[in-house]
Amino acid sequence: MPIYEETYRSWHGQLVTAPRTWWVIAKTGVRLLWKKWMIILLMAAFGSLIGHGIYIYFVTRGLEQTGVGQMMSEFRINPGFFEGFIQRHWLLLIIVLLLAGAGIIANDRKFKALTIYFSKPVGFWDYTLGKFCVLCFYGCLVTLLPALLLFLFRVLLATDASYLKQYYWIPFSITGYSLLIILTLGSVLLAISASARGTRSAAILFFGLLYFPDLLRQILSRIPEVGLIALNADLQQAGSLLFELERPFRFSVVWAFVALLVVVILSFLLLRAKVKPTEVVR
Amino acid sequence: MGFLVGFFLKNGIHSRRTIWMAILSLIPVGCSLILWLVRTLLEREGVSLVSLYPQMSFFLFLHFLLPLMSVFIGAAVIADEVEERTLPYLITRPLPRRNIVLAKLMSGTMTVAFILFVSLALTYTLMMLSQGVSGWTSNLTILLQSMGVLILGTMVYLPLFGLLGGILNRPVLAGLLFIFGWESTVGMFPGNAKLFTVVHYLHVLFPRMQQIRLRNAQSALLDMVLPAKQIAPVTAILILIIMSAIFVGLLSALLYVKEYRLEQS
Amino acid sequence: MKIDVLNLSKWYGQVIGVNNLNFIIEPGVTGFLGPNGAGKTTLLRLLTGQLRPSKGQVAIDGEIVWNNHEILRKVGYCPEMDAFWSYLTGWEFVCSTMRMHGFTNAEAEERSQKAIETMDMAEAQHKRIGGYSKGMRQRIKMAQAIAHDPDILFLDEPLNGMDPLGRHTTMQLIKQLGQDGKTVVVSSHVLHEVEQMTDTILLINHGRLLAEGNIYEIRRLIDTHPLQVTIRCDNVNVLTAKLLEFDDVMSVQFDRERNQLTVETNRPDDFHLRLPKIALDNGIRIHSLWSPDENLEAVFDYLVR
Repeated sequence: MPIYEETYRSWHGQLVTAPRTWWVIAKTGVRLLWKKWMIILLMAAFGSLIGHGIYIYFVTRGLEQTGVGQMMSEFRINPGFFEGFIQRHWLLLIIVLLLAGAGIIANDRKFKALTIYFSKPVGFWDYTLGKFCVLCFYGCLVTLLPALLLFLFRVLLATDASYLKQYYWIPFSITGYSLLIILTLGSVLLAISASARGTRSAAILFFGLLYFPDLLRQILSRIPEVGLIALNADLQQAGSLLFELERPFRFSVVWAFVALLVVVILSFLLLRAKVKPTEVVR
Repeated sequence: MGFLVGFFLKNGIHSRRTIWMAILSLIPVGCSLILWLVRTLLEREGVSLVSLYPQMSFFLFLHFLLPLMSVFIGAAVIADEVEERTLPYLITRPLPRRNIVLAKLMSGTMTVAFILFVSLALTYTLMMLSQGVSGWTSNLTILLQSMGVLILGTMVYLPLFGLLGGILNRPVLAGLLFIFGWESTVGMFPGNAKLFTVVHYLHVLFPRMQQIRLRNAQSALLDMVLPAKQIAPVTAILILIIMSAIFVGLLSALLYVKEYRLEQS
Repeated sequence: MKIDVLNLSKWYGQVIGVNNLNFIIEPGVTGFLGPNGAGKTTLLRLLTGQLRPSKGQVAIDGEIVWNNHEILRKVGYCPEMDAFWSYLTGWEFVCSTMRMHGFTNAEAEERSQKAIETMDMAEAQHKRIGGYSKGMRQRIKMAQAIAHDPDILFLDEPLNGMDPLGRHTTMQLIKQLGQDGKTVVVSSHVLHEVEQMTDTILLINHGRLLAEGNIYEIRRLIDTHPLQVTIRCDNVNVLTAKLLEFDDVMSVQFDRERNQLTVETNRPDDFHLRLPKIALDNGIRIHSLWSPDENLEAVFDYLVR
């Protein structure tokens, strides 16, 4: 009998909730954002990758082999190069994250979609993880993936295994640093998106939160501890540890990690408070 | 026209956006208050509040609050009415569309200017009072000069971002990219590339620019190697006014040319 | 005031909003009738100068409407969208729109008061619009449209969300405005509402003008369109035989399993008058009766085919 002619039957099977609802949310979010402006920004990241690749080629095949590169260490493709590459993508990363994340929860609140989400078997962590994965995906496309590809390119250009033997740990540093940046900025952006009334407000708040403390750090540069309030400075300090570089700032790297942890925790606490199926309007 | 300006001013006051801007503008005041409270510690490090004020006003007001507020309010000049779907009430009246644009820009400029003035005045007071009343009065020209520059900046940025708001779907991102991408990056280049930014002309007019520049050794060095063309303050004002007029004209023309399809409820 | 529409078309990329419309609207009430998505709102936006025609033109008393803000002095517009500056009170909202119209403060207040009282919103006028019900918001929208005594009124779904009393009052007002010599254009997708306000209708679907003229002529089109009626009854065979005696019954299909028959008739009024007598005379018990295609969409389908 065709299914449309069947009447009601009692279901005797086991009710199982979808085990990976966060994956559905993430997949949908990524697909919805794959549009013109995002593609243009990703092409810009790709262009930067090509540019850096060409630089690596000339430095590796040219300067290092002539011995000039041996003397001028700043031209070598050392850990500082990869850390610098990720840092140079800072603005691009911010823009990509804003494009992906400013409205990621703000729009759900604006169009009252949270009620629909939580009327399904979707929990807070499924929802948050799914949304975070969207930011992670696009963030990695701008930082982690190009940096890893550059390292791979450098390794492939090497005439022997000495470079790999010396710097085998760089991919781990790249991964750690990229994920640290994305985790920090992503959690802040999610919290702001959950609190703001719209995409515009979220974007402005996020920019304000990133740049204002940095400006303050520049003004009060004689007091090194002020740098702890600037996310960019904390991330650079953490990055210098991960890439075994000289510390760019004069405050402790341990405190930098603590500051980042505090930011992430506060962001998730704010998310917990704001992401709810119903909102009481007073 | 007067009624329209008043109407949009009242609109602005009631919007959350203005409240957020006002709160944001209190951040420098908060910082100044903290610095004032710890001024003894700072003086031990050789840092006086009076010497910090030019940098505070430069970085926090000219390079942070002004562009941020201009993006936020400017991008909403037309976009707000489109999003709120109140545009039909305006464009089905016997009102020249340029009057609507001009009124929105004037009310936006007045709002931003007022918020910035209050914040700047409070910051100035807190920083200068460390030298007593005489410190406050003797540096008043700096306050007025910086306020003038901020108003000029608002008059340029607001219609520029209003134009972006009328053309683009994501004007805030484009505006932020312009401010923190183009203006910041090109502003650092030595030579005449700076002439293609708005902020360069504001720098020419900003008080104690030389003092601020010298603190930034990198840019001072670059300027020595490849100096930019020197611009007289009067020329800078003229260029800023021309820029403002061009952006206002383009924004007014946009409302005559572009039609807005509002989302059905 | 006359509205002339000549070869009017509007398209958005590949999508056609309105397609080659030609008509004249004279003073009085004219109804724009059409299903959702027919192009009525697009047409109203073209007539009020909010959209620029892709082709053709719209003129009010010989003056082109697009980019002509002076002509809007004579125009009142009540949009369909439920959008306001919601921090304003009803009074402030209407007054502000009157000030935008160029009236002085005193004139604006006087006109606003009159319009608000006409729309029966005097009690709630000093409350914020954000706290209004849908019907109240609709009435305050109407108030701002009529306050400046325009010669031409464009009303987009003016009865949306109103309670029956409000609908009745508004319909009476619209009829009165038409009788006073104003040109009133009312857009709706509900036939019987438009019927109560005017005899003159423009039928629109998919951006095209399907029919124009007196409502009774259009109603006759509906009457000549064969109507299907499905009847569930006790004695299907007897009822079928009796119905087939009449020449307006074009076909009968019956379903023995469900004890029902479906009749196609081209004179539904006569059919409905006749049916109870047939049932009574022959002792046939009718359990249910319905018409699957007695709706506006079916009429439009017919007109389009």
